[in-house]
Amino acid sequence: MSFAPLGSSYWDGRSRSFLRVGLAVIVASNVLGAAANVWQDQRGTWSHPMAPDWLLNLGGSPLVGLLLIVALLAIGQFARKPGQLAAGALALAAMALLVEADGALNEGPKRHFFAPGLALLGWLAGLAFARLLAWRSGHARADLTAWQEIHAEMGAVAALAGNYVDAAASKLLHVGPGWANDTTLRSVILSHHPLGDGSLAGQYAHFVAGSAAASQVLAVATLVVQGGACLMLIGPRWRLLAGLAVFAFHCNVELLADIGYGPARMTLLLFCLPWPLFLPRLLRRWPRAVAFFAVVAPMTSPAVSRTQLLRVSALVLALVAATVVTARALPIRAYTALHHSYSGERSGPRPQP
Amino acid sequence: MDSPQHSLPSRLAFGVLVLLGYVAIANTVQQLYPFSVFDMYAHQATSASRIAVRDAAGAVSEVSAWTDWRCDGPIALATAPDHADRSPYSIPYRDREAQEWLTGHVGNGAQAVEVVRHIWWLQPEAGQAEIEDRVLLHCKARRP
Repeated sequence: MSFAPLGSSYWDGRSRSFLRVGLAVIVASNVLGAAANVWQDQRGTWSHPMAPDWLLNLGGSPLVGLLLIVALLAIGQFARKPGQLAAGALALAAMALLVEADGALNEGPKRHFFAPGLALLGWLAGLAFARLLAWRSGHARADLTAWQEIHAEMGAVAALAGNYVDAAASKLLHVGPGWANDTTLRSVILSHHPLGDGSLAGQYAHFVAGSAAASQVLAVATLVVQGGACLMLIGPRWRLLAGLAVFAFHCNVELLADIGYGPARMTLLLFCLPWPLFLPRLLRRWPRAVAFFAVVAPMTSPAVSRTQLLRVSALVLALVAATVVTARALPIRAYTALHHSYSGERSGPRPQP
Repeated sequence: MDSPQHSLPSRLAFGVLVLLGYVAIANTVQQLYPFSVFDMYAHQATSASRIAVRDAAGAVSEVSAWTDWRCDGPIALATAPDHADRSPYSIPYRDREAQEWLTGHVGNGAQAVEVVRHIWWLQPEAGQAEIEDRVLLHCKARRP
């Protein structure tokens, strides 16, 4: 389908400021949402039983305001100019504290905040990867802004894709292909959709919940669309197709089960739509806005040999392996395994926190 | 070197590394911002349930459709023990929303209602479901 070179983007040859600022705006809105939740939350019966006191004590604490200010200042600096690795990392760390506190105080992880943070992490990893490659090939990083942001964009897209691929993989690993049977999706819809909803969405949800065939078709489509998110890496048209498919999946889930995931949908649209093809024309009366899409001067990029690329890739794999080993040694998994430990079908009594 | 094409091998390699790295780390930590395996629906359920209200005519509606609650016992739906051997699939935060609605809308309602766990036992290969209501509380409330 795509005749563009493998891994290319609609943004090639243009400034990626729109992506960077757009991501910052989505993350900033998430920071505000998470901070508001933690400010209103208090430790209670719904709090995570293993959560450390310092995390639970953030609920209603003035420290929330401090974290909010730090996160907003840092994400503002990240948006202001390219290559702001430290500012982005600081914003991500502050956001992580707020989201984990929110999840620890009640009901488990707030996954609707995860996608923008993940895209930010992928973006920052791209900056670091490009700098590492440049350093290995003996180039000063000051000349390589555009080259770094090419990798940052790919990092954000690949992290988003990994998110959905893993969602499909977890269904297949936990249950197998039988996940896409004719009861699983009906169970999710009936447990979530408001009773007595007479709206069009309510009628649609009622139809799917009452139709074994329709619910099975949508369950199969869920696995295909989530697993197919890896196609986003291939090229711009594939990214558009796979991204819109995942976006449509989210919209369908909202209609059926009232589960929105707005930040994930906004992040998908930001990175998957071909903005450079139509926005400059729409915005031509506003030169400052068009600057977001400016054609950049021929890019300086280091001459990276295949050997250098392999070595840096091996280093990245070693870092991932070290992270996995370290995480396994820490009680992280025991902690996160207790999120939602009281949900799902069970034969015994509900465990008390 | 001055073409975006020149960066293609490195960015594609990086994209694959990030995707694989995400899957490896997420499956290790399970749920730690911003990593998640999104396994909350990775189960095979044959039931569904909601906290709901059943009125005298037997009609079932959302707890939030009623107000001015007066109940005959403490409102602790989320931790109410299930009396049957088999527990249905439930969504804790939906249960909590129902509980918070009841505690936040106490009053002098006069209409007798039952707060129930409304359960659908789903039949494979058919669109039908067997319905069961387990009574959790006897209350009086008002439908605005």
